[in-house]
Amino acid sequence: MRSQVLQANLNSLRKSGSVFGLVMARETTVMFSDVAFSAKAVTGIVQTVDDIIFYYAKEHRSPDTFAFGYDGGNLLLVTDEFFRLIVWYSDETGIDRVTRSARSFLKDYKASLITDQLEKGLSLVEAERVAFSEAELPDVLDGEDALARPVTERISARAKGPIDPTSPIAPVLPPGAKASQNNYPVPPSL
Amino acid sequence: MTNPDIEMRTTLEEALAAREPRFFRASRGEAKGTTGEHDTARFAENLMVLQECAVLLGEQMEMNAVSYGVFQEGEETGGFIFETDASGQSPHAWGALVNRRMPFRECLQRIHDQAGG
Repeated sequence: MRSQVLQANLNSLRKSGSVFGLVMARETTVMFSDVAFSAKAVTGIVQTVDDIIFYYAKEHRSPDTFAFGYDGGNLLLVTDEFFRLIVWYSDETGIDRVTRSARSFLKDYKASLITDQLEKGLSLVEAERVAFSEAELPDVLDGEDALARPVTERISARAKGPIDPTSPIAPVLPPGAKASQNNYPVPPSL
Repeated sequence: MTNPDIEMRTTLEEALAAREPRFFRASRGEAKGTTGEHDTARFAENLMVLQECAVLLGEQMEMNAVSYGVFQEGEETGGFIFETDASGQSPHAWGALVNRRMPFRECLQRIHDQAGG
């Protein structure tokens, strides 16, 4: 996928529904960013995502989609091997539409990388190898690498620790609010 | 005579066969469910990890109040929401695991329904 096409497709996703931010990364390398965070914050988010993926890989797990609700909006994370798409959106009711669009984009993007190589006359096996040669999957057997990832270590410690649903996460509901069917992921007006 | 272990195993087997969510609640340092110790422990670990992931990402964005978290992995979907009592002093998490790729919106709604919303 040519860079202009990549940017156009990401811009299209960026403008769909209530999406208000988008970052695409290849492991820890930011490929595209259109979100109202500083470059430093985006780098931190992408690094944290990589550490989260590394944690799961270390546990021999491979979740591919996450969504979280915050007081400032909702975050969707879609992963496909070493590619990550992080999408911020305000309308929680559109969560599945945004998820489908993000996953479809990543699938098309990966296919385009292979197609680019096929057009150069490579076999399918060779095209796949070349298309993804710059990235490496996390080496889950490297203990030293794991120790060098404080975020991963923090997740590990939490996973083995006692259940504490009250800390350090504060519920989004204000004190005194009555729980109702619709009040859990209410995004603020943006 | 009813054996609670058999009851819980039956509940788990029925939920898995129907690919229906198994619901859990966590508060005051422990998780509770109706599908047995092993299944509840699995939920608890997923809950803790998912919470921590939410917090870690939230820290980077300076968004600290988390209302829900959901994930999909293979043919499994799981998640949690927060609830609080009328005083706001006793927040707790409700959550679910289901052995299919359930749409996130449906998953969150089912958890919320279970929480009595």
